[in-house]
Amino acid sequence: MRLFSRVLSGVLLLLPAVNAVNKDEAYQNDWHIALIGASIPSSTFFHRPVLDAKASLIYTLTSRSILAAINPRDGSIVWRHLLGDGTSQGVSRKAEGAVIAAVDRDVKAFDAVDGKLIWETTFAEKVKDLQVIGGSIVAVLLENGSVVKVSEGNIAWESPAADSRDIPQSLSIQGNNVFGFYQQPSKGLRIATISAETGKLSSSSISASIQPIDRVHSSASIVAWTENSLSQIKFLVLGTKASAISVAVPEGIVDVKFQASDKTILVHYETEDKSWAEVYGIDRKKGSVNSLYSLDAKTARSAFSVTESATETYITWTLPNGEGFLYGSKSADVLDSYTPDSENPGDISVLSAISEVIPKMDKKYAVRTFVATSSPGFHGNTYLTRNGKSVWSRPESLVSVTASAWVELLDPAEEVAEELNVEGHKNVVGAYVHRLTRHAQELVTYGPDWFTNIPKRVMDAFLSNEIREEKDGKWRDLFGFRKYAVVATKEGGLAALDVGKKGAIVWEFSLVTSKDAGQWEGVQQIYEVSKGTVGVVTYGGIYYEIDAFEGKVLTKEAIGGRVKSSAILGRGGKSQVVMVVLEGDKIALLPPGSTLGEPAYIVVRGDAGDLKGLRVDNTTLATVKTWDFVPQSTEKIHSIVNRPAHDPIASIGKVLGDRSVMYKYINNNLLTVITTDQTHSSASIYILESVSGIILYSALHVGADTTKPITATMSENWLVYTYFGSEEVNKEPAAKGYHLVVSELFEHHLPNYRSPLHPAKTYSALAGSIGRPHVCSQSYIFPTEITSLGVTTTKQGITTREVLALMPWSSSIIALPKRLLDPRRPVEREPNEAEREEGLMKYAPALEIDPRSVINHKQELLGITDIVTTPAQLESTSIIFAYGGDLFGTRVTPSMPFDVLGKGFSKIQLVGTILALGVGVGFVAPMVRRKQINQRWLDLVG
Amino acid sequence: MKLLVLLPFLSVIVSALDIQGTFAPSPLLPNPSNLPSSTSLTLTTTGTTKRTLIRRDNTFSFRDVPEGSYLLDVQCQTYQFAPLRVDVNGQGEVEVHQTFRGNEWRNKGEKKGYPIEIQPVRPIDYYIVREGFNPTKLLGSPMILIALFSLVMIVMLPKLMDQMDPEFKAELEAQQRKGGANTVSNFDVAGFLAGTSPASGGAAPGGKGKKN
Repeated sequence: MRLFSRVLSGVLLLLPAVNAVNKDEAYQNDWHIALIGASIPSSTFFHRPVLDAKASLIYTLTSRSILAAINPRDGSIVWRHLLGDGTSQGVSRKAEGAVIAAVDRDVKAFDAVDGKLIWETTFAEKVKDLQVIGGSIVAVLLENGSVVKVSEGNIAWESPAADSRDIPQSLSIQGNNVFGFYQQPSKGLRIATISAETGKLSSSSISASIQPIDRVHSSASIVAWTENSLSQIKFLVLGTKASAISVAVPEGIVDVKFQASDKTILVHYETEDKSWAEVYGIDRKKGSVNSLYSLDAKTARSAFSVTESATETYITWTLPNGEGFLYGSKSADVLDSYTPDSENPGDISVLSAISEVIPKMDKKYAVRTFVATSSPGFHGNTYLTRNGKSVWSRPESLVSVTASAWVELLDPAEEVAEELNVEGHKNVVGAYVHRLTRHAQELVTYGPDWFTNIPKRVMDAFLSNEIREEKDGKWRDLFGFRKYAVVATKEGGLAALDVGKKGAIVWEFSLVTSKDAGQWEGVQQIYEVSKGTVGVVTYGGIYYEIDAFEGKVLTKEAIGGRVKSSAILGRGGKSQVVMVVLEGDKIALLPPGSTLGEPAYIVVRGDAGDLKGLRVDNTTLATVKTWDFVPQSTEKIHSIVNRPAHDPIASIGKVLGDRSVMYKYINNNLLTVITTDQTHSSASIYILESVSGIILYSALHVGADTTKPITATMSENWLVYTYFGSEEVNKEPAAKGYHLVVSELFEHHLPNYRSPLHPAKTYSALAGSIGRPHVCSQSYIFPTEITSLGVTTTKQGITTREVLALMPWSSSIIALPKRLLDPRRPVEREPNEAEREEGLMKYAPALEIDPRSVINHKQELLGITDIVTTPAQLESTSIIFAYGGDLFGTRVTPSMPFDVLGKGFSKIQLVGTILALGVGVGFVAPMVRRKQINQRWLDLVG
Repeated sequence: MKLLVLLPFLSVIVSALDIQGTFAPSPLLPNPSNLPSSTSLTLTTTGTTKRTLIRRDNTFSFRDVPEGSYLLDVQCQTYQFAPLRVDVNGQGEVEVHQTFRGNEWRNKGEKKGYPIEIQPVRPIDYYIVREGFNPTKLLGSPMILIALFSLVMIVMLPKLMDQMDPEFKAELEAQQRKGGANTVSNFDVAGFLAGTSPASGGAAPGGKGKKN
């Protein structure tokens, strides 16, 4: 029998230790939308990756500091790099076979074809502008005014600013000269002329009264700027002795933009409701500028693009509704005009429209325009038009998702439940008649379809095809793999993504209009308040209720103050109550008119860096402080983590190998507080009981790096957190690297013992009777930085959990089975038989990244900040959605898909086996029968 | 003259220097240019993290690394690399050691040369491939072999018996009639699952069940 149990545990170990991505399911169950953000107009261009390449790519640097190469054919990303922390502006320029980008203090050159780094260099100051002198040689203008020539990543010369009080504006290259333009505090424009060869500086300045809203633009041949808050334009042709030419700006102008090619400069005027352009020719010999033509005004917030093709200069004009016009450089005659297939809806402005014009025979042109748009709530969406026809679009505005909520889809069976409810209230005969009519009705409505689809369904089932969605839209599928994630962008847009359908956008809706976009403060949180309805709480103090299936506002109400925090109270029943804490610790309940059945206990962060427990009265909503948690004077609260809202615990204990039970310390009010101490370089972890404020457990990690991410997640009776530990702790040598710590709370340190509170019939946390848990902890070294943690969740909590860790350096999410992170793993000895049976492995201090546990497999996830999970209808499956940069969704089965037939189950093979057995039986049966009869005869004879 | 120009920069050189290395070809990866452009390296110590990308010529360089003891990691989509320990001392010397995660930091591994040469440990495979129906593999499996063997025996044994000595045959049949209780059929499944030994004579000395 022992042998048998050994065999059994051996079999358990033989099972794959992790739930890995099946090759045939990759890209089927998971989806990934790679996003880059809003393009910076002056750093976006079409460019041939190599000189003799046939087609060009779009290169763009975005406001999220991502440099990307986009294929204009289908909008796919060829390569991309995250260059900064996503908050700093930058510039990118094209060079021969390369793209050079500057973000913050770094300048990097990338191979235009495959995005490999060619060289990089770092300066002591931030980079203001960058221009390519030729080949891989660039001139860089720094924030302190210095101009630096960089050749292949090495500094050739550095020329300090003529006057350190000047504010650097831009840089131009003309022939062998580098021009630096500075705004002087004494109402002047300084032009520094530096020899590209030697770095020798000579500077001159002209009087110019440049105000903060004025613009300075420079190109190879000209510098143009506005003066006295957009009241005058001045041109100065570079490389000549001529003086500046002045042009008056018309009345009512709100913005002036310049675009220049070698021989042409375009001035783009914007008023409140109109926009137009004036085109000037540049005479470099005389140093003069002459007006070529001006375009008639059209709708406001449009964009121009000046493109050079061969020797000709072309101008394209893209209007917000999608219309486009092509002009030459000689006259205002329209060479070609484009009307879109469908008009852009709503309140759109064109941020930038970068064109590539290729002249064809018979005065025909091939024009491709890469357009970035902005509408209230959605900033930076891009699309490409080819001769006015939209080819592809990218939802770049969703790069700034800050909050999300899961929305359960409707169950088709619910209708039947209601009908059955009706029957329950009738007498027997009535109910019978009702049911008969219902069945007849169903037969008529669904019957014919059902019958005609039988062959198709059988074929699909046999060929293991994906089960076709029988229900669509707001009706959920059989297994509940489809759910909506309602997300909010930083700019105030709401969108619903169908997580089961590759993240398809179901609807988009903006909470802001172009008028009040300035006052927008962001969405605090989104909640599913009732079936098919989400409640959105904004920091500004407005509550919206929105139809989650249609994206329409149902109600909009002011809460009555700025919002600090909010929480949903699980009160059972169909609709739920959202409690909002306003500034001054006032409490509001949403939807308005909701009531609190019983007093509530909440935790809020105090203004003085403390944490307070509040009791909210159920009738007056007045708050009384019940406890407070004040960290040490050198410490500050880093983050607070609590258990997920949906966190079912299937078993109250953990059965050990010898059939004894370790009882879990289960408490719905567990709260983890992480505090950091920068002066002593340490981090502390506290587990609090949030009603009484009692500290159940604390751990101090000396030598924790407070400048690196510290993150935690909680579920059931355990906590997982990470930090970077240094090589020395209290003068004792330690393991340097990222630590991943798991702590598990039990009622008692001995198996089969329960907490002293267990015999009591009732006990209250208010009286402080919560018992003290026994906490088991183990710490591991993790190979890489983790910036966010999540945990899988299933409907009943029977399936084991997996900890999801976001690893930004390798741009991936790894799923660590909780069984691996069991703090009871035997240390420095082989597990005994009972422990083996339990599935405990010997403790190993280092966790290695198993590539098969990487749930995004080959897809690179950039900029993600949060991972959220929700259960499917199947107990085995948890749905995952990650946002904050790229969008990524998948579903995982931590304990393998035990409740559904996998794709590996071949029905053909099953039927084949049955047929083969049938044939075999057909053969063997006569033989057996003959043998039996013979046997009987032989017995008789014997 | 040249020295004079260098003087202002000298202080910078003493306190920080560049760390350089290459991705060297190896039997596992003969051409390091096949590594994806997103392949990145991190140099970590308390308080700082430096990150750089693989270059077009398969080299890498960290600029202005201050004195300290660092952990060098490589993140790559296609290959796994081992971590290295990089020490930069005050004299501007760089020492490179193999390191092992989860050990005390002062436990240094094998000393490596400088500039650093990096070679992959193993290729990364993200997927498990589902095993489909494979008749040859099926025939090779022990269960099927046993079944086939017994099938052959069922067919062949009577024929063998026929050729046997009649006396020996009679003896064999007599033995078979006596039979014997099969030990396997007595196995107490419920008892096993409960963790108790078969109740043969009450307390089983070797039983691992715990009664309470």
